[in-house]
Amino acid sequence: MIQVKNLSKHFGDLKAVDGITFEIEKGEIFGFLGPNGAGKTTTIRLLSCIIKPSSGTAFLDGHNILDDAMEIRKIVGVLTENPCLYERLTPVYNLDFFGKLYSIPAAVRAQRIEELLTMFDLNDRKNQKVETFSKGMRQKLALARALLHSPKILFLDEPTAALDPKTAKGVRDYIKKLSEEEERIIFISTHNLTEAEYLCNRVAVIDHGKIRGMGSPDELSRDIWKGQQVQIAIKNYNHQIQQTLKDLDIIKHFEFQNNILIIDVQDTLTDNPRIIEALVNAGAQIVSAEIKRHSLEEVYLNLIRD
Amino acid sequence: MITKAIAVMKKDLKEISQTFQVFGVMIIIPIIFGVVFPIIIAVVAASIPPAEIGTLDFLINLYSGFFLMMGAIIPTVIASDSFAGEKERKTIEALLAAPISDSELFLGKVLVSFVPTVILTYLSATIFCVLVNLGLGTFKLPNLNFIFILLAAPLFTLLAIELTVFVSVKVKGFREAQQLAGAVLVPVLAIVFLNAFTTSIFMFPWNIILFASLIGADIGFYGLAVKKFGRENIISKI
Repeated sequence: MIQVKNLSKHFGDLKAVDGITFEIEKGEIFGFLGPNGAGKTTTIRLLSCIIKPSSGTAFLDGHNILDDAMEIRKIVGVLTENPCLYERLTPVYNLDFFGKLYSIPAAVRAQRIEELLTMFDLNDRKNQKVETFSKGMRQKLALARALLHSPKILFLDEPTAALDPKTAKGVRDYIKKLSEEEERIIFISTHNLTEAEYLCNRVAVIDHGKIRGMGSPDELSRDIWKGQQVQIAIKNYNHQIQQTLKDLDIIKHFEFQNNILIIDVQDTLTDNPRIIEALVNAGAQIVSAEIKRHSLEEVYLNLIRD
Repeated sequence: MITKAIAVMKKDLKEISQTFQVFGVMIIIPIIFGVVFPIIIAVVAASIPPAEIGTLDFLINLYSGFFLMMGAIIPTVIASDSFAGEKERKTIEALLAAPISDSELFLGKVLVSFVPTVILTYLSATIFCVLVNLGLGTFKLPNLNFIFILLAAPLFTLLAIELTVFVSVKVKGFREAQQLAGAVLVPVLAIVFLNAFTTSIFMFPWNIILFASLIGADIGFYGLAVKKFGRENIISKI
């Protein structure tokens, strides 16, 4: 579990991270979204004990970042913004070196390196220098390094950047598997909102060092737009139907555009059946009805704009 | 502690072995000191009258003292590259996120320069002695002065490397580190010329004072450098 308590990091007058608080449970994939310079990378550096906070603290699997840095470094894997690979060395040497730093026994290390290189399709290039690798291959190798010691907590900065669609899907599926089957905590910092929507149980949007919103995309949407919206396609919209809707006290607001009724309600679960029933009684010919979902992109842009 | 430091040392040596710039310095300097200097001594010996034997002794003392300098010259490139190079190549962050202490990391980076420099210094000094003796046709080296120089060389080397690695931690790039590291040569040069004009610097009690000071400086500066290391300082210079 990760518990972040009022964590701040100042560089002179700049408040890179400004009193952020959140918790991440075991097995959760947590998305950290925000524009460039919002404080995402600084937060990862604070939580992986590369830098020290100006105030506040965080606990990772019970270890305090203020006084247990070495234990934290053993249980976290970090995919940094840059791949951080030794280009004049082979992928095997790169991984073996980090395996030694993580105190992985030699036999286990060799087996794990083989497994990861196979998983990321790098086995046939394992004895070539990294300087001959494409950007995507470097990213895969950096990801392999982050996973090498099977960390309990993974910090991934743009994990699928520079990957081709097939490999990116493979990485996403692997991340899901790590979370669902192995209950690892995955903290993803990304600009790829589609990916965040697909992968993350919850997201936090950070801007100018402060968290602007946090929760599942649906929860954030409800918070922003104060309730939910239902979209009902009707063939024969008329004055009687309009009056029926006006008479219903559960409807806060509605509008009709292009044969579709858009209705603001408080709770779709209890309100939808009553609305549909009222419309049918008023003679409405309903073609379809669905809850309008705001995309994570809409949520994100709304939070950043504010 | 030593296992991880050795892992860092081996990794860096593997990288260095593939860089001609660094490799070149490591080969050329020992050849000049070990082979070219004895040839100069032999040529001078053949061209001066026996009455001017003092000139020859001065030359031998001067060149002997240069083996102290070797410990400051050879590691300049490697030690300057230690952290500054990793910052320039943007490889440092993964290393800082790994479970290796500041002390292990600093030691690893010091060893990368120290081990090959000491090996090359002794190898070159052995060749120097053999060639000087062969060139003069008599046993001249190693004399007591040269033995003390060879005992002091690793201590000088260690201090020079610690200073250079520490500079490399603090600056942004390799070139900046190398330029600042050049300052390390100044006090070494002073001792080299002092030794050439008066061999008493390596005689009792000055040798004891010098060794004690060097050991103290080596240990003291290592502790200070680790204390002032600061991962944050390194990451802020990327």
